[in-house]
Amino acid sequence: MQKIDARRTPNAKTAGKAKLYAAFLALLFLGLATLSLCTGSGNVGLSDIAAYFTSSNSDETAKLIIEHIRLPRLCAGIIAGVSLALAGAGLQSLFRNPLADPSITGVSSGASLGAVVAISFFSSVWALQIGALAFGVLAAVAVCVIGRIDGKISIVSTLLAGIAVNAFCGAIIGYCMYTVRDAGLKGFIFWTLGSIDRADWSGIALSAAICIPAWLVILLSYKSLNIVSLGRQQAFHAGANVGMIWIVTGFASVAMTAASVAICGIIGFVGLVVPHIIRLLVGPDNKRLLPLSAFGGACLVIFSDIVSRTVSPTDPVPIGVITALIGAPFFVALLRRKGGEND
Amino acid sequence: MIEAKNISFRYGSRSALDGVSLKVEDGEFAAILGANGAGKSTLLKVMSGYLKPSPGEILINGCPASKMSPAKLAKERAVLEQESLLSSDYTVLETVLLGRYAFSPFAADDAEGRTIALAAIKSAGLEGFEDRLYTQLSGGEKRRVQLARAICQIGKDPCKKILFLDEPSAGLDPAHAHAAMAAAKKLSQNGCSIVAILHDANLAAEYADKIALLKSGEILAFGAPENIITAELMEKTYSARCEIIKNGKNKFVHFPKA
Repeated sequence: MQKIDARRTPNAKTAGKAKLYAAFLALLFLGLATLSLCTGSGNVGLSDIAAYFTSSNSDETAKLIIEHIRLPRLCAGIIAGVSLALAGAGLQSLFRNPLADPSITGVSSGASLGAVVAISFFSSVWALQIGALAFGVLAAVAVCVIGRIDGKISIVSTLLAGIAVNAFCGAIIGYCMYTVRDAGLKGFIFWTLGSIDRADWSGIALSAAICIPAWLVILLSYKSLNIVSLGRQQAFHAGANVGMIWIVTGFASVAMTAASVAICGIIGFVGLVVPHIIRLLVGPDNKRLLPLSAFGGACLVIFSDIVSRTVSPTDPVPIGVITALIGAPFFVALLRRKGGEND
Repeated sequence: MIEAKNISFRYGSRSALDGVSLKVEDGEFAAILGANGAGKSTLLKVMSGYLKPSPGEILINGCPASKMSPAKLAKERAVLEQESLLSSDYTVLETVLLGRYAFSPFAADDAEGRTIALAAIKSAGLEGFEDRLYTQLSGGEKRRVQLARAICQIGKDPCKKILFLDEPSAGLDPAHAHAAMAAAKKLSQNGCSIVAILHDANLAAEYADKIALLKSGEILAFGAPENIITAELMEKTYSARCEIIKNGKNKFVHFPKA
């Protein structure tokens, strides 16, 4: 009888391909991060960056620019990109729907509304962050409560509840924008179209404290996110505590999205498009999909930020505009190419 | 060994199961026959621990199913459901490997898990399909992949495990239907209890050690095929005229046109 050799299994091809993509994305990430630190007004070059990180003597002005402007900006971009892409990938698996993204849970618009409300009543950065987080989580809880039927989360009802909560929050933000004077309007636009201009170390520290544990939860739950793709009943039969998986990974996704909105506003399209593109490249297995999406998300946000500052150095275009403008055509092209192959 | 003790189940005000008791020993192949809506799938969902009976109790190897976690249950029994909701582009091997989830929910699949998955793929007659995309398979092929996933969950040592099959031959051509039944029979010969819902009484008579007849949520009869496959019991079960055709040693159930 021929012995089955577990080492010579298929998928080696996909796994090899995934490693190649991972290496490519890691290099791209490093390249973009360096480019991001070099881009902008003020004369900061590669040598200044190298000097800053090696703690050798460097130009004081360059040091200040890197420490207080460029590096916070890069970190905010990484936090937002990784969080949105991981939350998107996680929610797409949970909902078994490739069109789910962080905004569908209502968390983005809820957090954005929280920030707008906080701006209207308080001036502290902390109030703003806490407002964004609290409203983000509240909106997601509202979506889950509305989406529950007979004590179980219904996928269709939850998606529809997300649309309703988004519309509700959007309407209030819109009303605030309509009534506010011109000077305040710019601030509100920040929350609805996203920007990493305002990132500072205290905001980044708070967001990172929430996001990094949430990233780990999602990355370590890759098998649980795979198993829910079988549907509630089959996943239960395969040994999954489906309710617990929903609570843990759903809460991690909501928390990281709210924390990202708290420092960067709503950056649309990243959570939808990045996992989708990665899935087309390496398949739906979350073991490969999640880490590659994290890199992809960070790359897309950093690249969009570079474009936004290059196009208009004095008054950068909101980053959400760029992510959508870059992401959408790329996504459509990939979808058409893959669709053609499948047909 | 699995035992259902006086179980009942209601969907709202409608009773689906009423005082059902059933015991399937280690290594026994039990088939459940019944008309549409008789409560077969509900019985399987209750026996597999997905639905909680009220009242009644399910004992899996002597342990109440209600006190077992999903992971503990999954290590004792596997289930082939009537339909699968899987719509992701997993390969056949990746899909079958999902059957190993309960054994290592947080770690990558090891060589042993992959060996078990490949053996399950082979026993479902899917050799060479490992790299094919699940979504691009035919209905019958998908069914066999799901069977392989359930067999993969049973693992290397099927002794004292339980395999539930909800219409394992549905959507399969006669050769593959026999192959699926033979794969289940082989597991039962190695000590695994099989509980299979079947629509084909002849297939049940050929493979099962015992047959249960279910009508309106109650057990009509439970016993060896030669005692159960009679024109009278078949007519009672299906409310349709039935003839038993004898061909030498073999008996065939035939439901003539009304």
